[in-house]
Amino acid sequence: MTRSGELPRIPDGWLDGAPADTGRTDSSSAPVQMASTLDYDGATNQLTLTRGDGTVQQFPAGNNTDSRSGGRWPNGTFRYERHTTHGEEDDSPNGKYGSHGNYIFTVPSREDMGVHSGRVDRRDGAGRSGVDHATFGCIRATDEGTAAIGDAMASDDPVTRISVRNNR
Amino acid sequence: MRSLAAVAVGILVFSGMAVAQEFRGPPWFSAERCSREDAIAADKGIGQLKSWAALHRAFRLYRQCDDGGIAEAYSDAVAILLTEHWSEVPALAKFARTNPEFERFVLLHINSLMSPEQGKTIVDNAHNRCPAGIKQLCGRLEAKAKHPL
Repeated sequence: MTRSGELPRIPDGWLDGAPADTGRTDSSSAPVQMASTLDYDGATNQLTLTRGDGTVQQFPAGNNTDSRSGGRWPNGTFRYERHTTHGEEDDSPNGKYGSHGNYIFTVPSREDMGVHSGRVDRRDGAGRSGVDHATFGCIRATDEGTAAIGDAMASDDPVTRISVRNNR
Repeated sequence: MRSLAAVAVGILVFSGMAVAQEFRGPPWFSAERCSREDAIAADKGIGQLKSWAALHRAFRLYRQCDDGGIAEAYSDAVAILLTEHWSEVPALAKFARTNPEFERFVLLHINSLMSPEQGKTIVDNAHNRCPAGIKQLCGRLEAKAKHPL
């Protein structure tokens, strides 16, 4: 289900075959730019990155949230908002966000809901580490997963949305 | 007609209660009051959360954004301050006296994101190294650290 408030934000000129700054109107001869998408399945704890050319990469991920938080990520489709980095100590394999920062998406009634990694060798209060380590709402992936997101973001098919399912 | 209206009002009230009960996050969090600018500023300040004064300032300015990655930073800061900077706990006591909601914020962020080792250290600090005059606060910190889940 895609709700109207959660549609991916597509920049002007994107996907229409004619970037806005070229002034071209003949879309038949223009290159088609595609967006990458992320999917998180809470039942299989898997994050899937589908690149614009159809290439699919899958990574383990978790969404174990603290009992005092706003809870797990809701099911639905949410547009990409921004990326944050936090310095060497926080953005490292054992840091709270992993090596590649936090990729944040707009989730209604929530804030700063992102996909990040971290806590590879550090246990949480329940003894879990890696992707299973607790968060306050964010999906925790592996460094490989967030590196792949970063690669997509730096290319001509950036991630524009994430779809979450089986997560309630 | 009147009974139909009463039923409709009842359904609305009931569904409103259900929605209100669904969100379990911190009571000071409000997605409506946390603007995009607030969230970005809160994110940018994460690296500065190395003292109770800095955390108290973040709480005063950005408590409405206490969710997701920002909240994870607050939990990490609380755990580090109570384990690696225990000697500074009188500063926490001072802020908690003037702002009781800040104490509730700190207690909420003693949670499952901290490691078992951090939990044990907080219990040990609060039980064996509590400065004079703040025994009650130490008792509450110890109780929360014993049951972080």
